[in-house]
Amino acid sequence: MLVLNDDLSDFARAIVRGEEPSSRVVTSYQNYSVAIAIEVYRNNYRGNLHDTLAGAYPVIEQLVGKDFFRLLTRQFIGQYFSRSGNLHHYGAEMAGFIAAFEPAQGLVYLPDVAALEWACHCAYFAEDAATLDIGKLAQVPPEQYPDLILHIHPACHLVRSRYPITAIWHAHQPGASGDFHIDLDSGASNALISRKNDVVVVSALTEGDAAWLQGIQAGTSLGEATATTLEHYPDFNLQTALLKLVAQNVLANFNLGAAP
Amino acid sequence: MNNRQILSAAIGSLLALGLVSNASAAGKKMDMEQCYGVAKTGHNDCSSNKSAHSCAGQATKDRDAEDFVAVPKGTCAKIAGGTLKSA
Amino acid sequence: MEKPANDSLPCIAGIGLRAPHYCEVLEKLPKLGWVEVHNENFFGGGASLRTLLKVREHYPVSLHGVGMGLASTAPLDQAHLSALCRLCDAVQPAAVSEHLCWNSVPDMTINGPMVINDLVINDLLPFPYTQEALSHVARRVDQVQEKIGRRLLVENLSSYLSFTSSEMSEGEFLSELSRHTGCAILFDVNNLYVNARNLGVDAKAFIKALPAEAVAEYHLAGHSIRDGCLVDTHSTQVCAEVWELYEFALQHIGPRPTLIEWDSDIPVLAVLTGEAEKAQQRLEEYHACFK
Repeated sequence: MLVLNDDLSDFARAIVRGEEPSSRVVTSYQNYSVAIAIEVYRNNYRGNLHDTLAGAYPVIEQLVGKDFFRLLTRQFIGQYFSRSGNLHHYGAEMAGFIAAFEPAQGLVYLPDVAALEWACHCAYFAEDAATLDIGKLAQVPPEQYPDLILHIHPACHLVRSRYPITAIWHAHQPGASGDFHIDLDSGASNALISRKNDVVVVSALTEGDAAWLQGIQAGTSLGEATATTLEHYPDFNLQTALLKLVAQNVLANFNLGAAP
Repeated sequence: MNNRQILSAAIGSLLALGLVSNASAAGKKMDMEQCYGVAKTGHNDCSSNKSAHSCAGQATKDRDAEDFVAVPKGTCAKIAGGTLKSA
Repeated sequence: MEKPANDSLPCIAGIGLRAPHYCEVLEKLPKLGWVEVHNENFFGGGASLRTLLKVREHYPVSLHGVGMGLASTAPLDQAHLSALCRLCDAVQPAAVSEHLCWNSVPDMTINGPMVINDLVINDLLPFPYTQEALSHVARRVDQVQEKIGRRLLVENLSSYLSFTSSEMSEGEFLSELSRHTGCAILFDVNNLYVNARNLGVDAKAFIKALPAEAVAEYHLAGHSIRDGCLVDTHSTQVCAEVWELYEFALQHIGPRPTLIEWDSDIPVLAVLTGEAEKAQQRLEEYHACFK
C-alpha cells in the first residue's frame, strides 16, 4: 500500500470525522493555523453535500423550512458518505432516512415525497434512449402481441403512495401560486415521472395503469401484465393506458419474449 | 373482448396514430425552447444549477445545526393532517 | 508517449459557462472566444447535454472535470471515466482538463475495526508531493489519456494546507508529471496567488520554473478571505495582484487561451464578459499565439 494512502486517510478522517490531522500536515501557515485550514475543508465538504441534497430535494426543503432541512441534511451527511465523484449520485437514501428521522415523524407523507423527488432527480440525469419505434412495432404479427416485452425509458419511474404526493409536488413547483391546502385524506396517488422533450414531467396514474406499468417494469410480457391487471382492475383500459404512456415517452423499445 | 383482442385493439391504435415518430420530429423543432427550459423551469433549474458541480470553495460558514429547533417550519402547515402530532 | 496534438482552443479569452447564463448565451450568441463547463454536470442525457451540444454549435468548448481524483488512492472510477469518454464523443471538446488533487480513499478505518469503503470527499484536496505520489498520479494520468485518446490538461490546485512529507514543490511535481505523461498544464493564476498568500509559495519562482511549452491554458478567478485563509470561492472579480501575476506569466510563459471562472454569486453575463475583455486586452498586448 502506498505511504500516500496514510496521509490521505488521516486527512479524510480529519474532514469527515473531526479527528486531529496527521503530524505530517504543516501546523501553521502565513495567517492562520491548521485548525482553520481543516475547518475550511470540513465546511466545503458539508456545504457541497448540503447543496447537492438541496438541489435534489427542493420540495422537502420547502415543506420543512430551511433550518429544519439543514438539520436533516447535517444528520444525513453524518450517516451516509458519498461514494462517487459525480455528486448527482449522492442522496439516494433520503426517503428511508426521513422515515426513521425522529423529528419528522409527524409528517407521514414526507418519505414518499422524497422518493418522488429522487425519481425526478434521476430522471433529469438519465441517459437518452430511443423512443418506441412504431415502424418496427407494425412488423410484429398480432398473434405475437402477448409475448411483447416492453422496455421502459431510463428516465421513467413510478412512485406509489398512500398520500397525495403528486398534488403536493405540483404545489411546490416554481410558478405555483403557493396558495394551497391539501387534505392528506384525499387519497393515494401514483406518480409517474418521465422525461418529455428533455423536461421532467410528473403526472398521476390510475391504480390500474400503475399496476400494469409495474408489471411491465418488472419485465412481464404484455399479455401477462394485461391479464393480471384486468383481474384486479376490471376497468383497466389498455388502449388508453398505452396511448397515455407513449405520449409521456415512457416506452423505449421492445423485444419478443419466448412464447409460453 | 378476450385478452388477445384487447392487445390487438390497443396496439392497433398506437400504429394508427404513428404518434411516436411525429412526436420525436416535433421534439427536434422544440430543441431551442427546451434548452431554455433548463435554466428557466422548475426541477430542471435546481438540478442543473443549485446542485451543480463546481471547482470553487464554499464561502459561507456552515451554521451549527445544534442551534436549530427541530420543528419543521415550512409549507407543511398547509397540508391537513400533515403537521406534527402533539407528543 | 505520443499524444495527438488535437487541442484546438483559440488563444483568446473565454468564460466558464454556468446554468444561469445558458439562456442568454443561446439567445444572444454574444462574442465569446470559447466556453468551459464542468464535465460532471453533463454526464447522462437530457436537457443538460442537449444544451451543451447547442452551445457547441456556436463556440469551442473546453471540458473541465472536478470529480476524477487523479491523486486518489482508491482505484480510478471506471464508470466516471466512461461517462467522460461518452461526453467527449458527443461534444468533441477543444480541451479536456482535470485538477491535480485527490477525492477518494479505499478502506478507511474509523474507530478501530470500522471501515468505510471507497469514501469520496467531493472537493479538490491537496496531497504530499513525493516521488511515490508522482509515479502514482502519472500512472493514472496515463490511464485517463489512454482512455479518452487525447492529451489531458492538469491544473495546479489552491490549497489551504500542506504536508511536511512533500519532497518537491507543486510546480516541480506538475512539470515532472507533464514530462512523464505528456500531459499539458492548466495554470490557474488565482490558485497560485492563493497558495502564495496561504502557504508562502514563491509565485514568481513558480511561474519561472514551469515548462512554458507544456502550459496550454490559463485560469483567472476571484477568491474570498475567511479567518485569515484565502478561499478559492470563484465568487468575485479577479484581484489586482492576480492580474499582475497573469501579466508576469504572459511574459515568461507566453499567451495562452485564458478563462474567467465564476462559480458562486454569479453576476450578470456582462460582468463576466467584461472580465474576459480585460484578459483579452492583455493577451493582445503580448501578440499572437506561439503556435
